[in-house]
Amino acid sequence: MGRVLTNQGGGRRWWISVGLLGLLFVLLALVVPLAVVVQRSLDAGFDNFADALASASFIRSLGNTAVLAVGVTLCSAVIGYPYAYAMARSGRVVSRILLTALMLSFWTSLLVRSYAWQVILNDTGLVNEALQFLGVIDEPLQLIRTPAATLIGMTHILVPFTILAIFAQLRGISPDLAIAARGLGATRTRAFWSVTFPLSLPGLAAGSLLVFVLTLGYYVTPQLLGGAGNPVIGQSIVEQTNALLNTGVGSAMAVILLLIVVVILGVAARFLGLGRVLGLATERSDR
Amino acid sequence: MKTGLTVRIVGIVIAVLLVVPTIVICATAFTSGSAVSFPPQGFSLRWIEDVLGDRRWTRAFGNSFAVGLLAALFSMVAGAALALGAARARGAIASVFTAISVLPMIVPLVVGAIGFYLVYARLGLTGNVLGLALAHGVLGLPYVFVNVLALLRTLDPRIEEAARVHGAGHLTTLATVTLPLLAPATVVGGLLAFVSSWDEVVVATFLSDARFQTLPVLMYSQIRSGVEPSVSAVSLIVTVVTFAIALAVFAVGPIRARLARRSSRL
Amino acid sequence: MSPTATDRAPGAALDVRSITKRYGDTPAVDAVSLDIRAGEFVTLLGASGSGKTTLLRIIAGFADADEGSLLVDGQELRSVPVHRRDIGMVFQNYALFPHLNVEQNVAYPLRMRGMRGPERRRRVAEALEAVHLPTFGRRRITELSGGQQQRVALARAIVSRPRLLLMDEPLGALDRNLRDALQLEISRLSRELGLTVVNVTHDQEEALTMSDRIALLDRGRLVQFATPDDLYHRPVDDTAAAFVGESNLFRGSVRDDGTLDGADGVVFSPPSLVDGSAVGSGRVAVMVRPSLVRITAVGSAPEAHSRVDGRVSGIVYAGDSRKIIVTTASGTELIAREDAARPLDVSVEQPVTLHWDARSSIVTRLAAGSAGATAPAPETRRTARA
Repeated sequence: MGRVLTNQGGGRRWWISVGLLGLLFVLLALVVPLAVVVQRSLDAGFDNFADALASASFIRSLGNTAVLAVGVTLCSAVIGYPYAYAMARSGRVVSRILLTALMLSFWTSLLVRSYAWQVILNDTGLVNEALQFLGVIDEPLQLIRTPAATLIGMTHILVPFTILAIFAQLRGISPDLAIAARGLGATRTRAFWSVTFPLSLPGLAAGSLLVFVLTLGYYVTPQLLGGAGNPVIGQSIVEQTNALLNTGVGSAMAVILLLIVVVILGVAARFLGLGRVLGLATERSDR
Repeated sequence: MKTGLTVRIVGIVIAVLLVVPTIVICATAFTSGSAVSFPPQGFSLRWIEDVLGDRRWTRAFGNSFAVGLLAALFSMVAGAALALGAARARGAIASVFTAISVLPMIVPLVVGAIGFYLVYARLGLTGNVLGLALAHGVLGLPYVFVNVLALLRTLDPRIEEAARVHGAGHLTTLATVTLPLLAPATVVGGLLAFVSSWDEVVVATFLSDARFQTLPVLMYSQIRSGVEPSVSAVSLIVTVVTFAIALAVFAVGPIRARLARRSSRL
Repeated sequence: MSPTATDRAPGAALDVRSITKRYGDTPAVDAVSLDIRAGEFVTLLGASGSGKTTLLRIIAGFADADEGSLLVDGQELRSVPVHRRDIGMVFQNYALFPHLNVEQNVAYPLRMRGMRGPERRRRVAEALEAVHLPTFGRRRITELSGGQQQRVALARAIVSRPRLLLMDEPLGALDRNLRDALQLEISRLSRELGLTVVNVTHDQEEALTMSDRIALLDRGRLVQFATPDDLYHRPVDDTAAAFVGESNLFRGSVRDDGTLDGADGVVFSPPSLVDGSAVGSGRVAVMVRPSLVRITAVGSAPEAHSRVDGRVSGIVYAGDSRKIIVTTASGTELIAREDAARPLDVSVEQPVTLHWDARSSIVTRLAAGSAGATAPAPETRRTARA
């Protein structure tokens, strides 16, 4: 007897065709534009790439970006860890307060937050006014349009990702383990470093990786806080395409950025699992 | 084991630092002076009234809203479709659906922006709602995908089998059973997609022109040309809208949890 | 449901013809054939992995067979898509639509058949009345207890008067009392409506209570398709004997003199255990139901009875009866079941004789690949599936 059309297979085919509808949308709306970027980057052979890599300002922006990404990642880890720990291990009231503060910050527009730091770090901003009022300084400090300003703003914007990643990990670790360690004679500090901290490392790693990768692609915050003097990759790309109208070289730079991101995520996926890294980005990812 | 006092104090200090920028900006919106300063000089609603009476700002507000709604719609339809495909296909096809759905999350906005610009400009999709909504729709898609996929994992497939066996074809089952059951997750994802469109600057800058600007694009250009309290007023409005949506998301969350519990018990 | 008695729509006949379904190389369903008559209540009975659920899903259309055909009133069903098969189905976990209320759930199959207005309302009301939930129409599904949800699921399955009613472990999630009540109700309803029912269960008691006929499946193969009475009293082989009801089984070869080789210590009486046809047919299983086994002091069994000596190794009470476990000299455990109301006249460790009327011994063949086909010693198996 011949094989009759299987209904189960028909069911699967139906769902595949439903999925294809969405796939088609992503292909047309995003994959085609990305393909065109690649195509444009190659429209003069590899000349665009050669030009990009020969550009001193682009190479400098690569370095700036790397330094920024490392800095933001480290600051986020240092600030985010105790915060996540306090959130996971405090009483109800403190935990609530910390979570609410985190969400208030997280849900504030990226642009508004960058703008806020501009206001705060201005020559006449909160920080300078306060320092002058206290008599620490006489003349306002140059805070805005410095790499430090970018670092502060970016850390503020991205630290929630680190916090959420560590928090999720800490929540999965039973507090009983540390209690058991103390029961065996460890001090509170020793119990933390020998038990809780090692177990929370995967969360720290996932959050840090995400923050690192997200930092690579930022444009608005560095532009507003760091100024044009110390550009990051995003600024180089926009300058090429918008100001210099050189979309070929701009596309080549964009492809380089995309490759860096893909390679880092690809390597990370081998160790941490991509879902673990990106699953967090779904809370709310703004770049 | 509770944390020590030190850790809690450190936590609270960081919490204050986290919310200070938001508070500062919202406060400066109420200044009666003409410069953005903190603490604000006096108290007035003049800048908020100013903004609400300014055609440029209100038009940008309308554009942002239209783009956000349409983008959320695109995200919801395509994201839910991909989640259904990823959950119910097998093997390589399912992986392709998942990969394509997280792609928008991986691509740096600057890279995407150039691509959108290069392609959409040729198709007349710059300077209007549709083009930007398509771009934002695809960028917001992962929110819907992840939320719907999570709900699908808890959904009992027998509920849909019950619809099929009692006379519903594939499309009817989708319309009368699957989509209503997925609605809470789809709406949450859609709200997140709306918010991500609502404050997106980079792509919006590339796809806007002098006559068509969204709120973030206009804010961005205002901030760059000099800080003015009207920007703070707009920031306040933007923040209020975003928080309202955040509350909506947290309100839908329990509904979804209830639904998940229900279907797992049944 | 008296209103429908006048316009009942009797179910269809379902002819399952050597349906085979393989997953990889292993057949989940192996050439199963069942001729199910219109209006008949058939239960597919078997342990997990027996293929009963797969067969039901093939009938429903959720899976397709690799070979064989399904004829409903003579028409091939396999090429008909699920939603056109005109089936009602009750799922183990009810699978009600959580976003619809009771009425909307029950109306769903009618809605799909394009029925609307007063006619639809009337049919929904009838179905709800049939399951004793006439006032529950507006309730949300979440407000219902498990038993009520199952009644709604039943109403939804019968409301369109389908040609076939399929049930997948319909009572599995309910507690015992509710299960007993619903068993009777489902059989009553299916008979009143003249429905053809295919029910799946692993619960032999449920199968014996509700079914006109039972299809016993084991590892994808049909072991026996028979009435509960036949299945219980005339199992075709040792698998059927072991699965349905409790049994003491002795496996061995029939000697020329008609006695059983390998059943150490058992004296079958009269010595000619089986009629000539079984002689030389190789290994067989002899089954005796524990309820037919009597227990006495050693040496006092009636001459005409088959018997075996042993030692009481356990006494277990189970509701109205008690089980006396006797271990024979060769180490085999046998069971005698007696009325718990009778005074207990044996004690643990006491040597006793088990005996039974020769006519209580039932000789069956050994299933291919069954454990007893190779094991030389007599063996007692009690079903653990009740």
